[in-house]
Amino acid sequence: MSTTFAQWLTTDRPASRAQARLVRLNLSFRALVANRLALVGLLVVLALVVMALIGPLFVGSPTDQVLADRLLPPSAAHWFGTDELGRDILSRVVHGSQITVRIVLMVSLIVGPVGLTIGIVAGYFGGWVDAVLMRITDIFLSLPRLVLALAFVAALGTGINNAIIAIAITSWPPYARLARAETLSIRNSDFVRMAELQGASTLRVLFNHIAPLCLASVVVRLTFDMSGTILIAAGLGFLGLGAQPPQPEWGLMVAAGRQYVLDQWWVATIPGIAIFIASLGFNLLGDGLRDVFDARSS
Amino acid sequence: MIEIENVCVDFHTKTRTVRALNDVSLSVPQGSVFGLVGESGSGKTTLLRAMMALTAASSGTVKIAGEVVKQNPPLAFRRRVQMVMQDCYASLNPVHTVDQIIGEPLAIHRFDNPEKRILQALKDVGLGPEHRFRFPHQLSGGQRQRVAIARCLAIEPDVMLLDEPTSALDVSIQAEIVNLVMRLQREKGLTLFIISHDLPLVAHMCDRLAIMHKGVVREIITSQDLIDNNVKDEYTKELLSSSL
Repeated sequence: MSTTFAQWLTTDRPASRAQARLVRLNLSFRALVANRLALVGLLVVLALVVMALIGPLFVGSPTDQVLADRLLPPSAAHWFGTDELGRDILSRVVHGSQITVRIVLMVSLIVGPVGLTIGIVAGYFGGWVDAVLMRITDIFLSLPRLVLALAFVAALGTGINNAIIAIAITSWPPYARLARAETLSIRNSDFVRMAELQGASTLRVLFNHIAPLCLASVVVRLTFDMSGTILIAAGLGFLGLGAQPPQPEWGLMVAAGRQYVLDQWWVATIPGIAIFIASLGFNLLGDGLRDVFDARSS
Repeated sequence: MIEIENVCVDFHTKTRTVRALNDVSLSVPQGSVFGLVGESGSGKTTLLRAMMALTAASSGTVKIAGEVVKQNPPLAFRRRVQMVMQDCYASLNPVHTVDQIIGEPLAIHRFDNPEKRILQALKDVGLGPEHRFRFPHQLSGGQRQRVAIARCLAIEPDVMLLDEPTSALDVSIQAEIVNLVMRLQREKGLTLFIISHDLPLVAHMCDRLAIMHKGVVREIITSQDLIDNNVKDEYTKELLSSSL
């Protein structure tokens, strides 16, 4: 019996667990790229990641200063022009993508699991566990994100790692709330009761039954928030509390170009556009992911 | 196998107390099929929930397989006593495949060779390997019911409690599920406890049955008694005449 790979990948009767998983992944992926805006978002995010991974190999140093070439407009030699110290802006934007991707990735990897765990534990156990965890969440939630991040950076010191910690500390509460709300809606459902009746341990119920159902909304929210994370990281950089000169961080570059924005617009505008495109990409991807996850639950 | 002694269940509201079960006692010998019938609100599901310690009894004891049922029983007890819920769709996790659903109790109770057992469980309930990686929403009502039954059967229980196993199904699928359950009961020597409001169905499936009304067991009869109309209780007579 001969089947092509495409048939193997779309069959409705897979022969093994691995194949079933691939088929499902393939179908979800198809649903995602069928949505044109989501496809654009996915491409932007992929381009950002590729740029961060291999981009620096193709451009010059982001910190080499050529003072004779200060504030040159975009040209064949310097596609995006040069900044006030004669550094190539293209090179700085490309290197800056590494910092952006690192911040987004680290913040997501901290915030997602922490928020999810706190939320499902609070929602599942209820009672005083819920009360304690949710009041802590409320405290964090009641302070404006950027202001709290500023306070943390001021206390911890400046730098990218501290910016990551500050952003993570300030952005988990909405995830805890989200996961808790989802948990409350499924905690008393029959399949959770059934798992308990079959002898499933609390951990198994939490991570096998409740977490996967909360995961979809958390991932969607996470993707949406990635754009916010980029903006806050850039904001911290802009205020001089995130990345420090001469690091090629986009927010920092906008801040430095502010003085020249009327006469040499490209210095501030190019990194600004980079921030805009990156956050737009994550937003569109988040939209698409939400549609895919919704389609499955309906 | 199942010994229910003087079980009472009370539900409290702010202003009053409702006695949902009043002094219910019955026993089911091993390997037999017992039916519980009664109209809506007669306490059938409450009794089942009390039997699984999902609802706390105000007094009395339930013993299944020689053990008194309590809130957090040992794992071995969980394996021996399984329940199929009334709404089978709600009792299946919507993001788990059939494979995961049947595999989970096997993993909990550390059965060897889960691969083979999952396929066997599917075969037992008349589902093919093509259903193995479907999600519950990709199955029909009857198939979902089969998955719910397969999940319980996979870990080889001694006692199965079925809450209205056919109420959500149309007549032809009902017959299929009933025959399936009866065949499995004979093959595996299960003790079955079945809730239903469908008298002919219970008469077909059960050796003995209890008629409940307003939280009280009015009469316990054999299914032959039911067919012969050999009943003493007033309410049972009324119920029989209204359903036949």
